[in-house]
Amino acid sequence: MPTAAELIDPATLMRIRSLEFRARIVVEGFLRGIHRSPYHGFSAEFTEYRQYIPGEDTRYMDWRLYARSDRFYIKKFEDETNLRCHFLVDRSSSMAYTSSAYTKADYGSTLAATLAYFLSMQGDAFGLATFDESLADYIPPRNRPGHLRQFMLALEGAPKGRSTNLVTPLSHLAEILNRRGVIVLISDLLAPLEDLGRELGKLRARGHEVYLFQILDPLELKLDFDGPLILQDMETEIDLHVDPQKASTRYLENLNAHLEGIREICTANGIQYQLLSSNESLEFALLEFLNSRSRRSRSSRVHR
Amino acid sequence: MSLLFPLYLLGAAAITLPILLHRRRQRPKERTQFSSLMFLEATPPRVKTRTTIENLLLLFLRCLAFLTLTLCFARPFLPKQDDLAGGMINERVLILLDNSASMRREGLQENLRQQLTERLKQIGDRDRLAVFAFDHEVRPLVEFAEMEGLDQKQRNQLLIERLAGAPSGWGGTHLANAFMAATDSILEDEARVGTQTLQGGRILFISDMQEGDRLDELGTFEWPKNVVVDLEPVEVTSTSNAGLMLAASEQGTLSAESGSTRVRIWNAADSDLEKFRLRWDGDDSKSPEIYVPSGKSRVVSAPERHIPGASTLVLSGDKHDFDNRLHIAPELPRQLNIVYLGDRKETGPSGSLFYLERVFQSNRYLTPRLISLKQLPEPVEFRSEDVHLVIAESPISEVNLDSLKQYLEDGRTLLHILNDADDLGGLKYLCKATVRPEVVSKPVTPDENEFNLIQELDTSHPVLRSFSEPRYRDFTKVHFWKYRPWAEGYFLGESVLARFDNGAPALVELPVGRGSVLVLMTSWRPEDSQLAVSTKFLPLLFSVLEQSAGALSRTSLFTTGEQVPLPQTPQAVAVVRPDGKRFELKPDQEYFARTNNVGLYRLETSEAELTFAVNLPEMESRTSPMNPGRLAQYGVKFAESVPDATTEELKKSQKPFAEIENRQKLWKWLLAAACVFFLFETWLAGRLTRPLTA
Repeated sequence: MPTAAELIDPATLMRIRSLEFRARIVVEGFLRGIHRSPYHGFSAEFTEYRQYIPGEDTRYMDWRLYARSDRFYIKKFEDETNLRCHFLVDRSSSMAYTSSAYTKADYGSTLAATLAYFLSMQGDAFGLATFDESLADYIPPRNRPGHLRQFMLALEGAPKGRSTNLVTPLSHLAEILNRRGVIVLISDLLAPLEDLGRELGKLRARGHEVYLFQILDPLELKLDFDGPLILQDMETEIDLHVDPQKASTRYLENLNAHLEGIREICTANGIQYQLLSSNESLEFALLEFLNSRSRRSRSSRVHR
Repeated sequence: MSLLFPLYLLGAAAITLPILLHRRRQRPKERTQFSSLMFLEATPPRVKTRTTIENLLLLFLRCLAFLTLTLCFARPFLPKQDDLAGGMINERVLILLDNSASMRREGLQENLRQQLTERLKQIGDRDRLAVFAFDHEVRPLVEFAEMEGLDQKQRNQLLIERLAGAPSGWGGTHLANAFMAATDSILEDEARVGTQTLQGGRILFISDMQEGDRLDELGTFEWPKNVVVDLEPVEVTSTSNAGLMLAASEQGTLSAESGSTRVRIWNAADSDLEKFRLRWDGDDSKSPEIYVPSGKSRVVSAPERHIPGASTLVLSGDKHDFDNRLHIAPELPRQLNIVYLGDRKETGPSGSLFYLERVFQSNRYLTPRLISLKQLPEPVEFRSEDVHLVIAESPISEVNLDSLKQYLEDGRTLLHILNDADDLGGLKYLCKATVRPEVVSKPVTPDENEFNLIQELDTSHPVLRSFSEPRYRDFTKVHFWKYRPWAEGYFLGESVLARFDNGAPALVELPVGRGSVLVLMTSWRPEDSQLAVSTKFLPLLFSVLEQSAGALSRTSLFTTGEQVPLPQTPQAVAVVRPDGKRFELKPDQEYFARTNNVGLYRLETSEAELTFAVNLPEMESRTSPMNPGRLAQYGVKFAESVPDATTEELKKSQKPFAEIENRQKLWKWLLAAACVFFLFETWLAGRLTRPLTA
């Protein structure tokens, strides 16, 4: 597990203009850290054993089985060419908020790019759908030369969408996806949660794995403003006089209730949920994503 | 350090203002964008005062700036012992008293003396004082130097004596003149006494301040920076004034015949009365009412004169009669005698006399009498007092040459027409010749059907001045068929006034003493030229007559203070004023300037007695109060408001300190310091509120 000193500071990372380069830095840094740890082979899903044929690569030899059975067997995995990952990235106006030098959208794009880069290294197919009130851009999952570049290009630029609508894009996505895969939803989820559970449940019912990354700014998590001010909603442009000293308690209650609601939905639908502050290192997100996938694959092997 | 106005220090309480503002939180003004307001409720910000003071340096700067400004207003100074020593002069005051005709209104003189007495009490023994009176001219009653060393009682005594000898005149109000003379006197006294002791001065202006005051000359006058004007309007008990003058179309004289004289009556803007009557002086019969609204004027005809010789119109119906009389000089046409010397046989329209009789007709200014004489063996005496012009067509007989020469040397003119016969003998006697002229030319007659035209004219000469404008210079329609060639250069002082188009002289002037001979090379008989039947004939002959006899028309209406031009011919001898005072005139005197009274003046000349009228200037009747802002527009600087009795003692005690403070002017330094503090505070406040960047 990489130490805190080895993690890349997001503020420093976001100074890199190229999204692809940023993703590469995170992934390679992460993998360097991972190589020093005992975690191996969790990027793919194990399917079966087969006998060892002399001359084969001994990297996937199961030595424990040899110790038990005195026989040489190779682990066979359901490898990357079968994984289809869809990144659903929120590009609404609220994602353009920031209290630092980079926005939540920059953070979310970098997260999506990092995960996509990782998948592309493994030969997995990945696609992209951006949304605000509805589905905006859609890139089908592939893993061909140039696809990663196209993926990165679609993520660059400031969010131009207006309001956030989670239900319509999920519903639309459910209709166009005809093969099982992985859906990674990256959003701030600052929208009403009605029907969100239903749409997410539909995706789960069709066999998709759903991962939900909620990105919030540190100031959104604490409302730590100095003095009274006039706040303007970035999506509705409504103004509100707010005295943080008086409003913070109620704000945090409402926020926590909202977050709790999201957790309940995810728990009820078997969705992996992670709340990220935009000032957290991206390696954590990547680590959590991989851990989640590893836990899921272990549980599926057990159930088989 | 002392303070001139210590009460201003109360303004130091204003430093609590920055302290209070410093502790007060600001309401937010700018918007901050936030991702979503779905978890927020509106909480109007409460303005809460801070319990601690932040940014002490900023607060200190603000307080310092306020205190400096307060001290500036309190006008501090550093008194030195020698400044307070005895003998210091406090102030220089020049009192300007309005002595114009409008001050003759009822009660104004009494009010002026009363107000003057009150203001004199406010002038201390150590103040320098002068008093001027003015109307259309400025008269110093008491100069600064005369008042030196006198105490207040002695000053008042001297002033009373001088005022007694300067009653209100009849002049107009030439305020610009008065101000300029007053400022000059102040500056001269300042230069004489020295600027170290006292700079500048105050003009105490006591006047009715009517709107008719003349101010135009102040437009080009640079007002001195240390001289201020203190206005003291004389209390006017009643308004409602009307005045009258001759209408612009009138000539300024009364016709001896029953003509109608038209006058303009105007009514002051602040007048309550609108109905007036007009009559001739001495005529008590009731005249019709004339209605003139306030602020307006109206032209009316004067009533018929029932009293022969009446020459003054009187207006009644307003409250002030100082400007209600209009004097008009009776018209006396001038009698002029013109002698025609001619022996020619032509009579009627073919002769010269026929046309002369038609030119010299009587009008309202002239009664010319044409006397035709033949050349007789007996000499004719030409007296310059009796004969105003001689026109000679035939050769001048020798018996008349002596008399004519004397006549010409007295300043008269002879118009000599050269005939067919040789006629240069008379000219040789009258005028100075260089050599005996040898050539006597015969008359020239151009070829048949050809004629000469006059081309060159010397319009600078008085005889031809009336043709100076281009529209009058066209002589192309006047044909000359016969003329006498003139050999130029034989007579001394000869000047050619006109030439024909072939270059031959047409009109020549030869000087003889103070007079001259005008030699015409042609004649106006129909066989010689078309001159008599042209439009040029009459003005030409009248110009010759005017050169010989003097001005044919004259102005006879003037205003008080105006210079009256005196005629040179006939010679002006004396002027008698309406009050009977006689002024003898010098022989070469050109103007008479003592027109201080209104009424009819008699001008005695060598020839006859003439009359001219002097009235008030029209603007003197405009008695509505003047807006003091008009003076400010001309750059006049005003003193502060006139001090009332309650503060007068305080001001008197402060006078020495005021002078010290005025010299030191410490307030300027304090003002500069306050500006520096404010600038620094502004810069510092800007720095402190700038947001930190990452």
